[in-house]
Amino acid sequence: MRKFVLIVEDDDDLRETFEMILEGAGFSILTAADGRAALDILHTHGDQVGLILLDVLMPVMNGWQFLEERSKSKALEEVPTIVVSAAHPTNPISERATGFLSKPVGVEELRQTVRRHFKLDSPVGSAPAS
Amino acid sequence: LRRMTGDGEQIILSALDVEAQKEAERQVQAAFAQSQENSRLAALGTMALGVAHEINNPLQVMRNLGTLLRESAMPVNSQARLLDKMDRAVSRITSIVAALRSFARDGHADPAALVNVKELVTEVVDLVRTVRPKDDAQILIGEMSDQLLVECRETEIGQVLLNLVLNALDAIRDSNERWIRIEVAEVGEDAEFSVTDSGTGIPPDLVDKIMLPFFTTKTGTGTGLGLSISRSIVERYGGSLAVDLTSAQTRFVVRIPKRVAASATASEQRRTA
Repeated sequence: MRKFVLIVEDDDDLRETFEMILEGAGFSILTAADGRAALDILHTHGDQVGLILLDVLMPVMNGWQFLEERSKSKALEEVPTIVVSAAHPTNPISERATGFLSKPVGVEELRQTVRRHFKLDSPVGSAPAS
Repeated sequence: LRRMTGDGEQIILSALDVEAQKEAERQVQAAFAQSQENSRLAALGTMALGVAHEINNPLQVMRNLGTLLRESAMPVNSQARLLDKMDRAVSRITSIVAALRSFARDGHADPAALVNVKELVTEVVDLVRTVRPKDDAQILIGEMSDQLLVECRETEIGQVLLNLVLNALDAIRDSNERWIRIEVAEVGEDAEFSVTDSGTGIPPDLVDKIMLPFFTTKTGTGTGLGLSISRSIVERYGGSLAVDLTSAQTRFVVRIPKRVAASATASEQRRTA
């Protein structure tokens, strides 16, 4: 069951804040501090991740490199991904993402985006109670 | 000149009008000050982008936590945790703004003062880490004395070091091995700063060009003024800025007198004589 939201964000405070908001809304969360760590999680728990929230500017492996790297695996590429960034993406790789959220993201905007996603995309009723 | 000849006494007078030369020198100095300021402002503009980005995250944290606090009936200890996070976010913004202010300040008219070199290097590295936090290159500071003082304008020598470290970060951006080492040594009456990075050195055909005004290898992002201005600054102190051609890595060396008053005065006198 794809019940997890994977938050990929290098800013510790922001990552924990997103986690707090979405956990409070009933979602199950996995977190990674860069694209490389996110790929590692996908390789082990990929079949349980229903949505990725992806920061762009990160050390080790940034968001665009993550999307590029992930596209090498058909299974991993299918996990819907929302890019969360201050500037609207101009990189062509951003077309591989499902959507875009502009920072700063409001609490309700974040909850609604994730809720909407799970209702639309989750095949087995895994949308968490909010 | 006065001399006696068979016809009597001869007096030869010679006069040279140096006003035009003095005026030209004044104009050169004014142009130098202006280009130094332009270079500082260009660097500041680049930094402002990084700062705007870095402030955005703590602002987002504060905004989100404020919303959570307002809407939730959470226990007091959980509220305290959120408030601690908000405090941290405010501190981050404060330190970013403070670092930017210290660099943005125009200090070229400050009097030279005794500056603690270790503190100066630490401030520059802190500033680099603040404005380039996503850059995960290691910045290493070599052993240096707490007591080494150099007589200078802090903002000027700080700008020289900042230029060298930011250049190094740009130069090794795509390298596998990414580190920068800053070292300071006392060499006789001079203080020697060196900035070494993990790159493989400056190509021989570029060594002579990189210090020239407006020469840059940074397509679209460089002003080509950083190194030329830095060299002009240290030369005004009677010092030097050079590439260490004997180093296997890319190594820039700045040498300035620990006490510049005598040499600077002499240099000033040479310029205005």
